[in-house]
Amino acid sequence: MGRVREAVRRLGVVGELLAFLWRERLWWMIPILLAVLAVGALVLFSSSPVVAPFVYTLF
Amino acid sequence: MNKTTDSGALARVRRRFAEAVRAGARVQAAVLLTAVYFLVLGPAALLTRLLGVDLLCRRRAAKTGWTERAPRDPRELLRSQG
Amino acid sequence: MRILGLSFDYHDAAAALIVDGVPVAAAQEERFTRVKHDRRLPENAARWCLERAGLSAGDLDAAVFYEKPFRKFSRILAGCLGTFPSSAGLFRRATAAWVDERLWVGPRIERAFGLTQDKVLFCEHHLSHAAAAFYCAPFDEAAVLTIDGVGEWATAAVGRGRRGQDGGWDLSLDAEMRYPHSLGLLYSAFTAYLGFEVNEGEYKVMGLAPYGRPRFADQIRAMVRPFEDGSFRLDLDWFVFQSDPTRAFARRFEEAFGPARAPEAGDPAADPRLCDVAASIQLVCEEMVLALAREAHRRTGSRHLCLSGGVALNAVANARVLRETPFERVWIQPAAGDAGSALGAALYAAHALGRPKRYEMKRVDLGPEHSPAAAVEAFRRAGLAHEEIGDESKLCGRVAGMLAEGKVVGWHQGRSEWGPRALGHRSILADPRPAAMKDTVNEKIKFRELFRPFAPSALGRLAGEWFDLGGSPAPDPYRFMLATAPVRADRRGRLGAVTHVDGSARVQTVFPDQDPLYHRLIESFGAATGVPVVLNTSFNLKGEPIVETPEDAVATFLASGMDALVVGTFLVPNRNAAAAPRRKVWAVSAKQSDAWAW
Repeated sequence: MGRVREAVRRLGVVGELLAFLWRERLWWMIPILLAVLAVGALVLFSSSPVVAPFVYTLF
Repeated sequence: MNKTTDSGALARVRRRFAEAVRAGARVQAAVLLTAVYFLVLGPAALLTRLLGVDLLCRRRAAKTGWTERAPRDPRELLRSQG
Repeated sequence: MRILGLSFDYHDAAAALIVDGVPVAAAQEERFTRVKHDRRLPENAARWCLERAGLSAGDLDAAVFYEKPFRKFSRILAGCLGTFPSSAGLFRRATAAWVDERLWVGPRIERAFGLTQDKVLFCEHHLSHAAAAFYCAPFDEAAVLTIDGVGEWATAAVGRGRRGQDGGWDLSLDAEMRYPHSLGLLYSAFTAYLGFEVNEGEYKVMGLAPYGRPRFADQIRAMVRPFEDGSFRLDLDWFVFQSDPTRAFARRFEEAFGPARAPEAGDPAADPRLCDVAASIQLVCEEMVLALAREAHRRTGSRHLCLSGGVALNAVANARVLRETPFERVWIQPAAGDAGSALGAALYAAHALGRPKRYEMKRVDLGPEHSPAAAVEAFRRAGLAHEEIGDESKLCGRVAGMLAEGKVVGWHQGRSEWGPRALGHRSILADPRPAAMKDTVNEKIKFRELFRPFAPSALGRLAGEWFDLGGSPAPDPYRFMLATAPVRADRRGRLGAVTHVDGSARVQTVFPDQDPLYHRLIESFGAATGVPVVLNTSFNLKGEPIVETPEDAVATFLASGMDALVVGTFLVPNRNAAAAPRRKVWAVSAKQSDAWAW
């Protein structure tokens, strides 16, 4: 439950960050940010010994 | 399985596997972030240069290094992370 | 209103608690964890702050982080973009660190203290610095100047604090200089070039400067390109900090100034070229600080200046601000670096959300204090025989006598100091008269570089007779050891251990309202020797945080060559349990490869 709440809260932070970039007219940063976050999520996922073997088969 | 019930050899294998996975994740992160740098940041960098955007205030013609700040409501300012 | 200020994730994490506008507790995390420059979320410091005030996290009205994470992250991405394709390494390391933890500051604070999202607030980096100065200063109106490495985008800012129409005190920053044009980063680039650790070795550059001649000053001025209004633009061809995660200066540095000094290489004071480089960057830094201060005066016309940011810890530059700018009074936040911003962020929020009474920082003992029982227990564990001397004047008389005999004494009293300076609560004290005492303390006690000077603590009312403090009463920064002053020429022979090679000293003036016990000790030493001054250095060994608990004090006492130790009213008169110093490095330096701007 804690992890789900944490994930939701982090998604909220991402939303706030996207809103900030939009407000500041830093649109060009949005694709970079999304790519970096996707990498981050993938790496976080593949750091877990339980999930890693499945993630590595993707590459 | 509980750690205390692991035999010594099994615990070692698990530990080494976890270390290998973490090392793999680090390499993976480095490779992917390098790819993002050149494939996503690269075109954006090219575009900003073509448009003449001065991201690091390098322009030599400037007469001052000060940037005036717009006033912000203190309460409002504290609410935002940006 | 109860507000917790927090600074962390970069270096020197700290927490400060404000209750109804008054700081009741403030401390750096490193004092608890014993990890030098600990940058982790300061849970220990924050929990102690709450405990000290008898509060729990649920009683807080707000927790305030000292800067804006999103704005900082966008600056880092913009920097990588602006330096493409040479910033691949920086991009990899910075984004990994940000995605891993720095982006999630809000949820981390919420989770650590069980707070709801609406209670977590975010100040701006330079506003936090500015608030740490203005909301602690004895002025109703003042110009405010902040100078450091970099916050979000700003590297320096100028503004004003004053009484608002609604009776509160308003603070605003009107203009800022922006990354990468930074005096702090310029100074740190030379710190790295001279082989010292960035964010730690800047004092060493300042200490090394008087050994040299500023013969490279013109070259440095050329790389700075100053404007008439005090601002400047760095010539970025000289630097790589904007694209390299671990380096600061480009190869051109070595072509212009010679080979860089390797970290941990031999005595830099023995190499005139390195001394000349240190003298040159110090001189240019002073000129730039003066120009910025004059611009702050031109913009505001104020008689008062509040100064903060890491560069405001440059005591030599501060002394010139006191003497060479039109300001009548200058007040500098004693914890001018990022740790002090925990306090600044909380004070800014306190004044933004309410209208608290005005606070004036007259003393800096905002840290933990420890019970006599803790001291006795520490002595027992170490097997140290001790005496209790309940009468303060007897204790001071006894310690003054020991100092006059040439003994070096560890002095652990009351609450620990806020900021990087030990001001008589966690200090190592010695006789300032014999020049040889400097080498004794450097070699046998602190295990640090021999070229570095020691500071004197002087009796406030008599300090002007020994040091040229530029007026009476002495300017406020001298209370907190924030400015240097010339030692009067006819007194230098009697202050051999604390007079630097250029005849200056980073003097602390001690008054009874600030610290009655320390004042009394210096008075006793003055009565015994005719010199109302003691040598005061922080109670730690090289590379370690200043001691916090009696246990830390005992461990440092045993690991060094100190002769005696005082903890509260207890005196350990000699090294009865340990014949020889036992050098034991029990603290870990949080060496940071990311000491630059991300």
